[in-house]
Amino acid sequence: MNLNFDSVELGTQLPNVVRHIDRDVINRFAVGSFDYNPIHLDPEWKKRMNLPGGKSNIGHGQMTMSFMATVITDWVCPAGGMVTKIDAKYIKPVLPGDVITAGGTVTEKHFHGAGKNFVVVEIFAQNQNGEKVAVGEAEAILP
Amino acid sequence: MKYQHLDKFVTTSKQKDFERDFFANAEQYEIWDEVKIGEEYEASRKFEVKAEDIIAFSRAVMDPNPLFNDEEYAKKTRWGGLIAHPVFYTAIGFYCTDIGASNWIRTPGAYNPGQRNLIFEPFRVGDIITLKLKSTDKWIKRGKYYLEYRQDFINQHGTLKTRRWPTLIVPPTRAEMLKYIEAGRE
Repeated sequence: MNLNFDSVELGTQLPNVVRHIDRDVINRFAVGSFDYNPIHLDPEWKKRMNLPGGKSNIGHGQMTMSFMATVITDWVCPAGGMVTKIDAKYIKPVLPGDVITAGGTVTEKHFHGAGKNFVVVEIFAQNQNGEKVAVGEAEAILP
Repeated sequence: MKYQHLDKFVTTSKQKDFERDFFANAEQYEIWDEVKIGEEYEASRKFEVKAEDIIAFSRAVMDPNPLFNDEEYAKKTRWGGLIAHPVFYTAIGFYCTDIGASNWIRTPGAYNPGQRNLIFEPFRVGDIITLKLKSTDKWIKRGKYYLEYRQDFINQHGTLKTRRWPTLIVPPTRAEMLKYIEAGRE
């Protein structure tokens, strides 16, 4: 069945997105986002600082946000929908070697008329130990 | 150029020319205890969106969605061409952020506990984006110093494409910030 607003049921779980994180993944995101903060890139500097992640460089929060956004876009874009809102709180640093799983559950449907109807999706990202690294909420318009 | 080992990931003209030293001119940054709520700024650098920018960001977030990567595919969709991944605002925000006041995102020692983002229209090839910033809140909680500000991403036609409210945890004073810079020079 083609995805559309009418067909969506509350409680629907979206397919997960899984990403394996290593230094190259973090480095590529730094170049792609223009975010060269040494908290992500400079091992020697990070070891001297009292910042999240202990002595390790950490992944960009925006990278984790991107994985959660992809959960929504993978679901709505083929149907002609679009993401209109995405909020997140970062709970735990993402470290090289982590395997991040992002997912979401439809929690609300808002009836605003054709072309404006939207759903709310609770989103999360967790590491290989099942620890949440980020949680948030997204909205997406569906045809 | 700092971080030369990252050269292998450079694929766009903007990436090639971008200053990678996050702390260059950091002495001119505005610090938490200097920020006055309600101050507004416009970044001097604009971001002209090219296909290579959209595709490079999609690769950076490992998203193979053809809408963000394949111009021929995208032409046949409701969009009629490439659109950017929803989090593409990150690349525009960092690229446009200049030195001096409103440079909060580049503050040495800053990190990001969360954010809110509204996306009104996807970024498209041909958009020339102006970034406007406004400080909206600052507070102390459990010994940490928080700064929230608003970023508006507006194209050459005056269309507000994305509005977001990043939050940062930052060093509270210039003296504290300088410790992070000095550690990078040791």
